[in-house]
Amino acid sequence: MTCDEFKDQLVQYSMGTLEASQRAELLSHLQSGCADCNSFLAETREAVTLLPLGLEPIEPPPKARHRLLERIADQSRPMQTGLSKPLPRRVGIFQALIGGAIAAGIMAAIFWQVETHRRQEIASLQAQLDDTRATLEQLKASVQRTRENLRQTSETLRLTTERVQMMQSPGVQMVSLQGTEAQPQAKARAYYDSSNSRVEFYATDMRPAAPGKAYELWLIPKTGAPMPAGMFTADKASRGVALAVPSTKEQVVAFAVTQEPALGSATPTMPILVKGAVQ
Amino acid sequence: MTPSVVSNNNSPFDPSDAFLMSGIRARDSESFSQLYDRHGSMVFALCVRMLHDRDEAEDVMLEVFWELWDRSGRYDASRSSPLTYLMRVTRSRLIDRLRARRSRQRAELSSGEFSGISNLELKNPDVEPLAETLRTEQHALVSRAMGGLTPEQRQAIEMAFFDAMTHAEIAAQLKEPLGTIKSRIRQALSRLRQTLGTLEMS
Repeated sequence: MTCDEFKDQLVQYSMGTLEASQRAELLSHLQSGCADCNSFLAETREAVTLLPLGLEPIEPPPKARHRLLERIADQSRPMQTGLSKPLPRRVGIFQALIGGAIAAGIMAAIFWQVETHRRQEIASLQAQLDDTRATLEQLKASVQRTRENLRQTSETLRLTTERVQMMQSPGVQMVSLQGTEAQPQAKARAYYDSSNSRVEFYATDMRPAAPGKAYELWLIPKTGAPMPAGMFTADKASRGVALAVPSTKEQVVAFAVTQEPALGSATPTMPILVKGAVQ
Repeated sequence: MTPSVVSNNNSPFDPSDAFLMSGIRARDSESFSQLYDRHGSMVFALCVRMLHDRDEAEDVMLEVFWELWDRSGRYDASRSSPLTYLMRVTRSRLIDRLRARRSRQRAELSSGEFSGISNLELKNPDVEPLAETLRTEQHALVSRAMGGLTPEQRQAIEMAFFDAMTHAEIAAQLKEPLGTIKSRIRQALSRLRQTLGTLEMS
């Protein structure tokens, strides 16, 4: 069988519709290490696995959720013990009617039942103890998660406060940038604090950077070469980027954005996509 | 009942699927509820689409989520994302059910010829596989990817994937040559790979 024929089988295999009889030969071909077929399988699986996401979601009936949660709750409830069942009393009649050996067997069975009931009760108490321990662990984990959430919230608040303070500071200049004909829809704003060379840069309506590339901000000094001021991508609109810019003795007269390889570049690659001058 | 983690749909700190799965492994029923609320309607939609029967779809959906809870140890985070795992488990059960149903149908049909699945499809007007309302980014991307196929390609992929039909069954159903169906599906997959290639699978 050619790899092309194997690939048709791989399509069916990845969709769960391959005949069982064909599976053995296909799997041994994959195991023989055929790179082409193995990567084809991986790619095909990737492509089809998420197809269900294209379906319009359908709200399940509310009772389904209820049934699941009930079943979960039942699972952690302790077992019913057998102690509520009364032990049979008519041992004497059994002995008389059936005979010693059989009665002895029945007696043994009854003692075994008592023993089982005791064991069940111990098991049930043990289960309750385990359940309590599990609940305690869950509570601990929950507290931990809440603490982490709180820490993240505080951090975000701190950063936001810093940004707002910076934008309101009197020594800060605001520079509006506009997209050039390469990206006419783009808009950006830079808040530049010349005392500490700090730049807060916000860009909106930029197209996502090409694969393997990212956008780079440049400070254009009065004299000399443009200075790199940081990299950013434009996957979510209106995301502010705070860039720590190396301090410069030069007076900055303009800002520019170009598209560079993802790791940046020493000099800007034309064309300039967004630019603006300090007033 | 354990206290719930502070989160709402608009919070930037919504727990990720992976976070909820680890909660489930730790027997936190709250994590389980959140995961169910997040993905239940998609799982249910897949079940309805493939089985064309809401009651059976509900059964399978419950089986899937129960397995998620009861056999949480089976999920291996290093092998796939929680969503991928969920899709795989769901499809596997759905295909089992379809196979069982079809062998029953085959036994019942007087001629040995396979027929009937796409007839069921026609009778089920409330199932619209690729409707226009787009709720999430992934939903939008996959819908768009499917929309980028030709109608014949789309039909072939749907029959292969959502109706779990073999190439031969599709060719017989559509009265087209087997080779045509095979290459049509390969082309469709190639286009889907291109458009879905950038999709985040986490």
